Amino acid sequence: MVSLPGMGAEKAQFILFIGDEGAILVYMEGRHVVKRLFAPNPEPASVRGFLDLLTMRPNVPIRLLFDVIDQSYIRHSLPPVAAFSVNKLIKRRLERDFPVQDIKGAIFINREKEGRKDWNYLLISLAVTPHISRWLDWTIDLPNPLKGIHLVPVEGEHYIRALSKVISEKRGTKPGNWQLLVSHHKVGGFRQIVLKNGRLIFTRLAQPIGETVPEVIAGNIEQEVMNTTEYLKRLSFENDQQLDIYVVVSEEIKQAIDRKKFKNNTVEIFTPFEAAQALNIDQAALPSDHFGDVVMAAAFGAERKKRLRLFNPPIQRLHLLETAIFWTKKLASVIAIITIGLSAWTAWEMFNLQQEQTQLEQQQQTVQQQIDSVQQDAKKLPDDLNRITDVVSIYELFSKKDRGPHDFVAELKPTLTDDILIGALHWSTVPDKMNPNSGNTYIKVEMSVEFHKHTGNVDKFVVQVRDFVARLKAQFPGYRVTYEKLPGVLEDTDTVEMSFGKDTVAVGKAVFDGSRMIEVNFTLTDEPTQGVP
Amino acid sequence: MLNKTRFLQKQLAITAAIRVAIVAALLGVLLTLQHWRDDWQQQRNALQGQVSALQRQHTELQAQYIKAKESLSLYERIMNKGDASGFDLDREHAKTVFDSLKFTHHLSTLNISMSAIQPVQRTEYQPKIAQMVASDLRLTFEGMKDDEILTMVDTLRQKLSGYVKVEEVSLKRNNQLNGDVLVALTRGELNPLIKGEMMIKWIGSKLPESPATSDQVPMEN
Repeated sequence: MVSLPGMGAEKAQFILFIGDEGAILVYMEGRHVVKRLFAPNPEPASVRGFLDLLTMRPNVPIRLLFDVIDQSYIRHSLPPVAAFSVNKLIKRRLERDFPVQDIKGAIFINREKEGRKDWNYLLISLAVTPHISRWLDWTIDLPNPLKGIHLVPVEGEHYIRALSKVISEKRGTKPGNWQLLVSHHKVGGFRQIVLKNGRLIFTRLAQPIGETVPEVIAGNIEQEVMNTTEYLKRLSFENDQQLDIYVVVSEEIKQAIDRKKFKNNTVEIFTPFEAAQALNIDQAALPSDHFGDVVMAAAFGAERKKRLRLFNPPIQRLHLLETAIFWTKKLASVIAIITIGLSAWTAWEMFNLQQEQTQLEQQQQTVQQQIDSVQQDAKKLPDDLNRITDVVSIYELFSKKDRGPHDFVAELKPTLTDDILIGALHWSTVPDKMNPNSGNTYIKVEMSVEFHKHTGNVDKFVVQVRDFVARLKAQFPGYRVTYEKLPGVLEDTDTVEMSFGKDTVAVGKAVFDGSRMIEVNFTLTDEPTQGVP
Repeated sequence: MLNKTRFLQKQLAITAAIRVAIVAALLGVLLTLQHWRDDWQQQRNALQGQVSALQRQHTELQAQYIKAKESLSLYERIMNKGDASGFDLDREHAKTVFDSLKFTHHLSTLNISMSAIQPVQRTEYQPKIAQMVASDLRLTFEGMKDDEILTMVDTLRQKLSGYVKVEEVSLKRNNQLNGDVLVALTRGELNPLIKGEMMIKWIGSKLPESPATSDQVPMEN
């Protein structure tokens, strides 16, 4: 089994801090150091404790953090090629500048803002000495997944930044542009890391082998810092610039260091225990601890983002295989989870469908029973239900709005008087022209009305007609009543021709001849005028 | 180093094989379930359709039954009008009815022209089992009084099967009621005062098994 990288893997991890004088294995869970072991070399007898601890947790990944002297750092300016081409240049430069067997890498520093806008990279090489090679061989054979090779000076950027942040918050000041860390390590010696603007610019490792007297070691540190400060002047450091110095040493050495030797620079001296507390890393050091290896290793482990991960070809191959296994599992897990989720959803849908099916079957049964019941009731009717429906519906369809001539004539009779008779009557139904399929009809009645007893008086005749029309309109309020032009009545629209002879005066064509009976044609209809509903 | 590489290669192969098998099995299960689900869905949809159809049928049947029950008296009245029976257009029976009109309504002449019975289409109602049919009748007549002529429609409605719908009536006074006419009347002669024409649509139904009736049949009394 291979543990998952990322958050889950970072919870438990091994950091193997390797120096020229041995290695320290740190087992961490989150920000808590669970166990730390030291071995002077990778001989089986020396690393038995390591093996016991590692094999107990074969899935926990391991990272190698080297603090050896055989490291090379070359600042290099690369021509202003495109961003995706710069890696090829770096690779070529690394192959040219360093031996083939070295473990190599590069970190981006910045890009010039003026001139050619060159790329500035720090090319890094870790020489694979026999000492390092033995540790690498031993590590490769471990069952634990190897997550990468890291270098203390490079990863120290995070460590210094974390310490400077704590101090800045404590002092309420901004950290300086220049920062120097001196950390006393059991496996290496005095590791000095100098950052300018947060980036690695210089590193040194001094090894005061054999010295145990705190005052002597403190003196060595003071001397080393002074030497480094002098050297930094070659790297554009000036005396009036602020240099923040962080020192991680034992309590005895801390007491012995003469801060005045550091002149105007700000100095902060931590014991390993104080550094661990400042960084909030649990159990990384005890108050009596003398060395800062474990704190630095733990701070490195606790940092989520690593500055630079290196591989040599064999480790790269193993890493690729482990990555392939990891992604195979992860991909399969994702597909499996999705598939299981979809299957569960489908099963849930099927369950619902089954429920619905059962309900529908019950509903079908109920409705069928209701239909049977209605059909049983229908059998009690005197005839077939459909036959009754057809007969009644057809009958009602035609009879409902049917108005016969008899009704009309019955209503007409009260409008007639003894001097008014109907000579002819034509009653008809007219289909609704606006909606011919509706079955609606209108009534149209044309009648010839005889007017008697007007005694040849046109005025009396006109009154007779007008009274009759008024009665018609009152009797048939929904009807439009029209009648032809009355004879002998001169309308504005009439053409008037007059001839004056012996006996008669003729007015137009409408001559009221004074006969006793005059016929007038009337039309009554309830059909709306065209265009008016 | 070599051992670990081989170990990891083997582990990768085994891991991949196991995972592929598991994923394949799970996908198989998923596809099978989805296939079943789709089948069930189709069955449910079909059943839903059946239930909906049954519900519609029930609603229509219920409404039809209620209306039939409410219209039962009307139905019986329609079906048992005088000596007519049923709602089908019975031309033979009609002939006897028209024959009697001449006497009951004091008509001096009565000519009837009856068109072939034709199907009628109306959007408002689609018959369930019967066919809606109609025949156009043209009555020309001479009679004594307009009332007697107009009540002829009521008589037809009472005696004929189906429904009689008057579409057009023309009445014209033929003679004045003068002394000669009165004398003729007292002698029992029918002296027509009014002559006219009436267009009637005679509507009824025809059951499917009934043979089709066609050809215009003129009748004269």
